[in-house]
Amino acid sequence: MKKFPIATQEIGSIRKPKWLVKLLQDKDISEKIKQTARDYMSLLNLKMFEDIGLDIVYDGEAKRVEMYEYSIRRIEGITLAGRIRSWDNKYYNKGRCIKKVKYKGPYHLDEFVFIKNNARKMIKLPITGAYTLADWSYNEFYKSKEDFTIDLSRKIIRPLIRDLVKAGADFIQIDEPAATTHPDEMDLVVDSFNESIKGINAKFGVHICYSGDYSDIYPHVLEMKNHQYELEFANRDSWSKGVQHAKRNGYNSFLKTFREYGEKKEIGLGVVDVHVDEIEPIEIIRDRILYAVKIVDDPNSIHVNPDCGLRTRSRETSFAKLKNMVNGAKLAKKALGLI
Amino acid sequence: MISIWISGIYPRSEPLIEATRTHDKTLQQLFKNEKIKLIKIQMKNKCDYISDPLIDWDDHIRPFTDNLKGVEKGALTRYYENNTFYRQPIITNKISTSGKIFKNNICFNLFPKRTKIKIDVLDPFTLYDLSLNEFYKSEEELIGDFGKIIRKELLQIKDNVDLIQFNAPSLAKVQEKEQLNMIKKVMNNVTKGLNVTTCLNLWGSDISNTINEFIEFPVDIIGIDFVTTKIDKYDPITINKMLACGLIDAKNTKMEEKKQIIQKLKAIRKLFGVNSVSLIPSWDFEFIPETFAKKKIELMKLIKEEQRG
Repeated sequence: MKKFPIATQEIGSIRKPKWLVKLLQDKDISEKIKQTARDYMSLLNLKMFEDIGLDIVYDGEAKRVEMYEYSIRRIEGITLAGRIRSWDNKYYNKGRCIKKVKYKGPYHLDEFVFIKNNARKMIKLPITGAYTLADWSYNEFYKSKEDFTIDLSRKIIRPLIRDLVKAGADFIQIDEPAATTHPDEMDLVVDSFNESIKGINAKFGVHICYSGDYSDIYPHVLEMKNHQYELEFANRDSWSKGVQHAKRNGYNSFLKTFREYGEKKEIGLGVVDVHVDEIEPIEIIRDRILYAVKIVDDPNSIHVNPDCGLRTRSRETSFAKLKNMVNGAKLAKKALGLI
Repeated sequence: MISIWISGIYPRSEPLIEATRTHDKTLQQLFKNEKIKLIKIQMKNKCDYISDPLIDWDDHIRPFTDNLKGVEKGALTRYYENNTFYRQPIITNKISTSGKIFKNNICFNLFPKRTKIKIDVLDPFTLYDLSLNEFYKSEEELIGDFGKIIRKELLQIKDNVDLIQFNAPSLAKVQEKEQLNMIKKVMNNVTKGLNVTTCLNLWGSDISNTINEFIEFPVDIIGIDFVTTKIDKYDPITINKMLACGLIDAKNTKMEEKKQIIQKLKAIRKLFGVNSVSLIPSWDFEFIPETFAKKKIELMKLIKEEQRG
């Protein structure tokens, strides 16, 4: 696979504008108009990402209501239970698994084909992984969480990925934000990932975020057949400039572990905190990247992204953060003599 | 005969969720109305202690994070093994309190007269464990100061309260005897002379190896999460305290079978030689939608009534 040092990429969803949410909720507006609006938003996001200068793009998940709910609504055997809080005034709609899960069809196919037909840059398609779908759902049917998770991997995610790859997807990010919720279940996270991609040829990333401590994922993830980790770091890092260990306290622990295990996979380095409105100065982004390169000693293994999806920020803030991310990456490349 | 009560933060109703999302101008009034409604629900379902449902708290620790001196607001951090997050308090200086945190953040004015009021508070070790210490030289010193803060807060409200429940998910994880002894001393400083019934509620961990230590803690009631750890993991011992049995799964919408819960209560009584037991949820109900929480409280009431019969 072609090396792409310090490539900038998006990682998740972008907030939908109020007019779109209102339109999509309006029962008097036809599905045809709603679909046109979704297409418009997908295209708008895509072009904004490309214009900002991201190297690897998608559409900010413009056509999905939310990463988890969108998927479970399309899986037979899971029904919606209601909303619960994830933090402060942020909520998500949880599903209850009440019978054996069944694949109803490739639920990301139409959006992927639309992006493929319109993108000028490389595409990375995000999908929600089996472990997270299981962990965020109430299991009222399966005897164990293991049975539930592995059934989701084999019966839902694998056929979905197979259909997407058949349609041309060659870089898929499997979102597993729940991966480190239960440190004792890391083997299940790895097994479910490997079961999901079994026999399928594509580049696979795994996105994990808001872990107490990434050291929990080792050594288990050495068995994971992913090519890239997309991880959150900026949330826990200082806002001081510099490439010393003490300045980059959000990064040093994981990166050192990564190096100690002699990992050859890529890291999608979270350099933008998605939970604050302050825009990271480009020099701090540069230093976060340079620090990572210093520790892993290979710019080819570093990709750059926000910590997570930016949907909790306004669109203006999100695009300003992404713009600085691209410019910070340019500064880092310049410092490394890559441009 | 058993007693029942609920713990911690209660899930928000759908109208309240919408109001918090749209920054509704009437939000404060809505919180108040919902609290009145939820107090009535607890009373209707014969809860023996009634608590503030804390639906206006951003997380279990936020009133402390926002109001303690010496504390700054840190990163959004995972709340134990849940898809729920809290703002981590960063300890940047010696911590202190005005003593008005509970007074200002618990709805004492909404409880009807003659209600037996319960308040939920994190124990000093859990407060320490959920924080990021950038100031204190030793763990013991910070835990001790959290203990002093809690005591100062409790002294302000103790005359209005009938049960103080220390929710202790971090403490429940502790396995070392020496550390437990140190925390026990801090708890002793917190509870001595309060003259209010106290409960140490050990959420979320297997305490089958440490139960002998916990029953020595200076509280009247020990709460055990029997969803996380099944009863058959425990060796028979005699507990000379009341036992609060977390048998109602607060993290799953699946409804418990009434018969099974009654059988488990019977087994617990026999195993620990206790007469006095209460039935509580395994955690707080905020991990399931409100409609399911309500069904589970109704089930608790039915079990209580059947036990009485």
